[in-house]
Amino acid sequence: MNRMSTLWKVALVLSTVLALGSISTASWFGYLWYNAAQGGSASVVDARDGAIEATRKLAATLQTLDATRPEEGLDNWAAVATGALSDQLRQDRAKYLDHLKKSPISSSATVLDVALTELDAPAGTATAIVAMDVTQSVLVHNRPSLPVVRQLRVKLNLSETGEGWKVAGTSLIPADSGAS
Amino acid sequence: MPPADQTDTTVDSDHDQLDAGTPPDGETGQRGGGARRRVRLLATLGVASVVLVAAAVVLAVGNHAARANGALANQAFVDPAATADVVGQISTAIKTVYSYDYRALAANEAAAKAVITGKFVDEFAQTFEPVKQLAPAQQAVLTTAVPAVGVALLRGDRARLLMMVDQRGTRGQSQQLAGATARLVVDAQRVDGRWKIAEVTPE
Repeated sequence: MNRMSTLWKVALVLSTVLALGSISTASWFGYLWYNAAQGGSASVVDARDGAIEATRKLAATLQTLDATRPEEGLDNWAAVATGALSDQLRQDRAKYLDHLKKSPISSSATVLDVALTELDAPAGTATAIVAMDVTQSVLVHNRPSLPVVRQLRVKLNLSETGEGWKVAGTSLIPADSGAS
Repeated sequence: MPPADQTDTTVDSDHDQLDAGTPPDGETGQRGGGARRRVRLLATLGVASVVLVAAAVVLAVGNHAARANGALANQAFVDPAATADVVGQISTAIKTVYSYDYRALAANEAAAKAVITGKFVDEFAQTFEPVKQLAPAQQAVLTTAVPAVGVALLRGDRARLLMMVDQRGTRGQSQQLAGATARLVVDAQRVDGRWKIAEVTPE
């Protein structure tokens, strides 16, 4: 009788511990899986991969221009710009058109590599760097000159808008003057 | 699944005990009812455990699949601390590997060898050999800066970075300057907890 009730208690405790243990294990893996698919990490992944994919197109667009159709080129730039860059393009549109009339340079771009240097997924902002080759030719008597390839290092400040990622600012990464 | 087997055994042995120890008449009804309840309770717990262990296995496999092969396999920016680690360590490594001073070539070489691995070990040896021979006579000094670094991939002990790199060199007493800029794709590997340069591909 005593031995039996001890055995019963041991069995009960063991199976309760096992049941509780497997509940926690199952919940933990369930939580991890849910988190992988739906949680904060998943939204960071979406922002990161979305920003990188967008950068390839955005960077190319901003380095592409057909000097015979400058208006169209500037419209394409405006379409991928937001914030400060958008304002600047709007303000300086006449200046750019004038400049392109005086020195009509066509350019086309090949994006070699893209990576993010910063990402703030909740804020919808990112900074990307781009290695790209830009082929430029000047229109001489309305015919393109021999092309010159410039190897550019471009930085883009990105902002997520209702229409996807756009460029709020762009600059070239210059040669570091004070190497350290 | 050993835990489930254990439960089954426990249930069985308890059952045997009850059978063997069936008491004389009179108490049978009461005690038999109690024993049946106990067996039922144990069986329920056992079955529940089996189901829950199975569920845990399914969820663990699902979680592993989502993390190992899905977009989460790339931990760049998902794990900010690990991302900052690889950026910091590989930036320092690139500066170390691509900088030298003709007055400290042995120290430069030793420092560089500590931050490289795999394929890049041979590549470094090939580029540093002429430096050792020529730099002293030229009084050459080369310094490297990394104005921008992006992380494209961070997966386990492997990472891929896009680095914008600048070099400035001086030669001789005149401190004649020469500079170069580069765009490097750097493959990094973590060895004993430290990120090292495994391969460098100029774009």
